[in-house]
Amino acid sequence: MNVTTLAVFLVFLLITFVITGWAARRTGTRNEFYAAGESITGVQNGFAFAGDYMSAATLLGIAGLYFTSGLDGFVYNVGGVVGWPILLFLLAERLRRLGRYTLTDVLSQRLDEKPIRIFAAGANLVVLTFYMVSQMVGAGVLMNLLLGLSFTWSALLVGTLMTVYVVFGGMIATTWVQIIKAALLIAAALTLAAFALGTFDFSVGALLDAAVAKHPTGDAVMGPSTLISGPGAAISLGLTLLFGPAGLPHILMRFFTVPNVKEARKSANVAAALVGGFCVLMVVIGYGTVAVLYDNPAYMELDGTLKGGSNMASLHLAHALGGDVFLGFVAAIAFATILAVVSGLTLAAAATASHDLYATVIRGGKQTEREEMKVSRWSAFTFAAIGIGLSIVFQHENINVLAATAFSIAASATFPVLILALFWKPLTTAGAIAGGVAGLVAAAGAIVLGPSVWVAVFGNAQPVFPYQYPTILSMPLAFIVAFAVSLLAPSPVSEAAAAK
Amino acid sequence: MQRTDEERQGAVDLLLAVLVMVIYFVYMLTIAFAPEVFARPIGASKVSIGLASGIAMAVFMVAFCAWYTQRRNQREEEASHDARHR
Repeated sequence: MNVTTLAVFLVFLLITFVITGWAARRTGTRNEFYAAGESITGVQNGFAFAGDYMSAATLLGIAGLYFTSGLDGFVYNVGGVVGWPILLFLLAERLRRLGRYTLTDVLSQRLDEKPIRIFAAGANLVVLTFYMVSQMVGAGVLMNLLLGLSFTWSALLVGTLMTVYVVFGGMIATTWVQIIKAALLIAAALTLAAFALGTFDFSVGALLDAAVAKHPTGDAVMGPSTLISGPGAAISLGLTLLFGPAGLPHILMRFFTVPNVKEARKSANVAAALVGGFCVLMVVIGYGTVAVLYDNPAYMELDGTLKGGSNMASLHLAHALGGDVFLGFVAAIAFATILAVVSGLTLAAAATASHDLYATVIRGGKQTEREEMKVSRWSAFTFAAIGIGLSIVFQHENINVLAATAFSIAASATFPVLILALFWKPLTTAGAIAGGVAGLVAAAGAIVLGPSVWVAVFGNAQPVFPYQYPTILSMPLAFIVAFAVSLLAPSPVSEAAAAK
Repeated sequence: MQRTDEERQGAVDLLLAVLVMVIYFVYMLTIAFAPEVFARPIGASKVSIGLASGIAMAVFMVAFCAWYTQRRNQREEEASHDARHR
């Protein structure tokens, strides 16, 4: 048990509880619960966006990728930066102008409300559940390594904390937890990068020289490895990294927390700068893990792999540079990161279930605000319980596969429908749903038939679908089906909706 | 009039997004087709072409966002200013 981890983590918990208490007194109305009363400024929201983008996968997983495969770590990381101009140019202004609480509000402006809400809510809940389980499994592994907590206890702890934030503090608490975590994460990355550089007399050149000298592949550590082989795999990965986040409901929901279009743009701009800066810091940290750890027997197994797996690279680096205290600090922040992200997911799921399904589809808008908020709090509780249960069942699954499934479905089912609804007038409700369902089914099917399930789980020799990410197939399919159905069977409903 | 303004802005936004996509996919396809080019070091340093061009791309994207945000927000301010004084 690391005392610093516990201390830093307890301080973080204390701060977040104070914030939740403060937020709870400001969360009386539906608008405050779902959208923080539109009271978040552009800069604050930019930090919260960046917090949602920089999950624990970034600090732990990307550093691990640098450690094993060099430049591949950068390639995975930089896709997230390039996603921001896309979000800013295509979605920021339009979502803020058309939506109130959920991205489904935006779709139902143009399409037949009931069916599109049922489809979009279903797709969102699938995406949120997969992403949630991936984060919970990550938290469990981390807690087990750092505090020796069993997986079940860790899942229960994370689940309980996020339920408290969301049920009592709503979007205001969720946003501030995310802002604080983003600031802490950036502080940790800055310190880690400075320590790593300090070991090499603050010379990036010397750090990279050491990385090349120590990595088993030598000079090749500065180039792309075989992880991304061939144009199909490269395009599929690129599409997933670029458009996956643009279809994630808990991220898009943040555009509704700022008061106007100008602040919405500003928040995306701030987020881009933070995510971009973090990507550059990760170059130093990532190659730092290579330069510091490879020849240190304290962190390496005899067969040349990293102790505890490559996901431990940034934590080992912290320990090598700053001892137990710094390790404890970084580990606590990694855990806080997971906690903040799952809170955002829970809130998005609660909004989807209560606002899209209960209020609009089931009650047809006849519910009172009180009833809707009550359903929303119970939904958060239910989603958390499902998340805890599923993460215990799937605790031995690969985190990357679970997260990849969420991103691929978001890019293939949610994103195409959203873009067409905003930019293509002839889109009909039938076309949107057919396209979205085609994208969802194709994405899920191709993942099952692909290398990460068909080969790794079922033990077949060859995958039926060759790439880890299905997006190269499923995203264009969603667009084509939506185009075809809209043009072949123009529906009177959408014309009526368009006229309105 | 309002409608055509909005449509023109939509077209510009789509064009800018396509530009971003083209830049990014040129980068990704270079990895796919010519990884050895990206592995090549620049001068005497260890910094590879892939790393340097990738960081340049990230910096450009952030600057692109800043330019777009400033321009659009300024336009909007001018428009609302005009409307108030009309």
